[in-house]
Amino acid sequence: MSTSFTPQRWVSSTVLGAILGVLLSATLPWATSASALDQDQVLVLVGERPITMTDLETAIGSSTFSVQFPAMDPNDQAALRGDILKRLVAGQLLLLEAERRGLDNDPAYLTQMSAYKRGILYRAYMDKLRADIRIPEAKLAELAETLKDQPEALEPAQNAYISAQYRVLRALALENLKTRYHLVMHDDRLKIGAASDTVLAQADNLNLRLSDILGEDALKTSDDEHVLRDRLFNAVELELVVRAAEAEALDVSAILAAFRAERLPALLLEHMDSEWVTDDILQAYFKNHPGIGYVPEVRHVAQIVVATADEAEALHKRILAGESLYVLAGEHSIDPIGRQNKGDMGWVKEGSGMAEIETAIKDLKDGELSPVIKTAHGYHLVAIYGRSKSQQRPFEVIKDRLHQQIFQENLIMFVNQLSTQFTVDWKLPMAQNNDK
Amino acid sequence: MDARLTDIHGKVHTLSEWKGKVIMLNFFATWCAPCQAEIRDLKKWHKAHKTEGLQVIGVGLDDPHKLSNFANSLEIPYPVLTSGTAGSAIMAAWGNALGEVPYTVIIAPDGSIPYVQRGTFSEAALNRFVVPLLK
Repeated sequence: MSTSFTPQRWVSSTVLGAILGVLLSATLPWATSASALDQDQVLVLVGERPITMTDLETAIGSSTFSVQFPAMDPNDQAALRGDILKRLVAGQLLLLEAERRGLDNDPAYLTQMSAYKRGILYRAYMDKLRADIRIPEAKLAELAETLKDQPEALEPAQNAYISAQYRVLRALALENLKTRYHLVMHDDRLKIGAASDTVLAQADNLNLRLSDILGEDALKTSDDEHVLRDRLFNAVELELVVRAAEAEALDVSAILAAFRAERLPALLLEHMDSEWVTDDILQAYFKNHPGIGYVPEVRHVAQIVVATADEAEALHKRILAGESLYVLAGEHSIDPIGRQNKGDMGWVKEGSGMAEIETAIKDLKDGELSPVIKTAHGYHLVAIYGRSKSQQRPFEVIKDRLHQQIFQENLIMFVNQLSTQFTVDWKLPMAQNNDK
Repeated sequence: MDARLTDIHGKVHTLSEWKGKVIMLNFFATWCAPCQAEIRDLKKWHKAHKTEGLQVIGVGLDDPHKLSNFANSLEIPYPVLTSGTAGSAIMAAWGNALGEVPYTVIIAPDGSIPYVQRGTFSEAALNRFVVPLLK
């Protein structure tokens, strides 16, 4: 694929929801108000996997309209719930298909999962360290007394105390881990020109080499030793803490499952993207949809509308004789808005007006007055006082939009196909006959 | 002040109806995320302390129709009054000329105002300024 897009750009997890949002235009009827349903209520089974009321509420709560949602009309809330539920179903279908294709054994995925797991284990260990800190009763009483008239400052003060304790505890914990795992640092070997297999730190069953902290980059003479030293100490800290977290059997399975459920569908779509959208397909789509790059002309339009042909003809003569269309529109137009604005209709896109007017003004020059135009609304006199000309945008300019469009068209078909491939069992009473 | 305000069901109220209670007069707006978070706490405190004389009253600052939806969605158990177009003036009269939300005024049974909270109301503030006033 030689387009300017990397697959990740199209189907990163953050845009996955947005893409899935266009899958189904019809909204799902919602049988009951959300509050009448139990949080554990299963709304739909996708394969063997349930989507519960809690899953739906979480999705709504993390959406861009979560704040506005409670103030919406009940019908709008129901429609939105249905729409989001369909997105969740689509996500589950993609997950099932990703698993069927064995993407959870994809080397890139396994590398990402491993890196993510180590980061999560580190965080879990540190979170536990912090959560175990208790403020002594005497300190609590002292803070409460000091801040008795500033109650809003009490919680921040308690947090500041915990943060200070955490910093000390964290440093102590790291020192203990260095001793427990017999860490020996060789950071003196960290020099420009060192071989990539140079061992920089050793501990029980650990040899941390220069290549481990460089990642895929080669060591360059421009690399700053201080930066590399920071990387080394961070890498050592991560290794030790991850070992300690694993030794304590900290449970991060739920977080990893959530990562898996989000990452695998995205990975599947990355694969599908490179299949669905190639340069040849983009070019063919552009050729077969000539209107896709067309930007219509936009015109600054003024008009008068009157009830009779005679009146229109009389005004036509007066304008040609030098009177202002705007002034006469303010006095005579029967269109209330046009009259209020003295005939100024603003900037109007080509093709958006009434057919009779569009035809009559098609070849009108700037400043030229149209002949009298008859429509169902009356008799019009129209003039154009400015325009932004139409243009045909070239392929390179709209390639991104084409890519998105082709991807979405394929995605809709793909998810519809998956919904027949896997079982989708709706549990909402009013949804029984929907999408079957 | 004792302005007449209409609740989301169309009934007109004045504060004197709740005379003798400890009133938490909470100004909020439906578009305000901190207000929504705070309402969860207000509901909890209302339930915990209503028999001891606590009266939470919400004053919504936007469209009554939206306020009605909002109160139903969040299942707000205490009265929700609508300020109509006078929201800014009412808040200014209660000491909030800048119109910040959420904004909560505590009115003691004797009519005095022992505490005003700009921003979300904390449990610590409740315990310090409200609980001691309850029966």
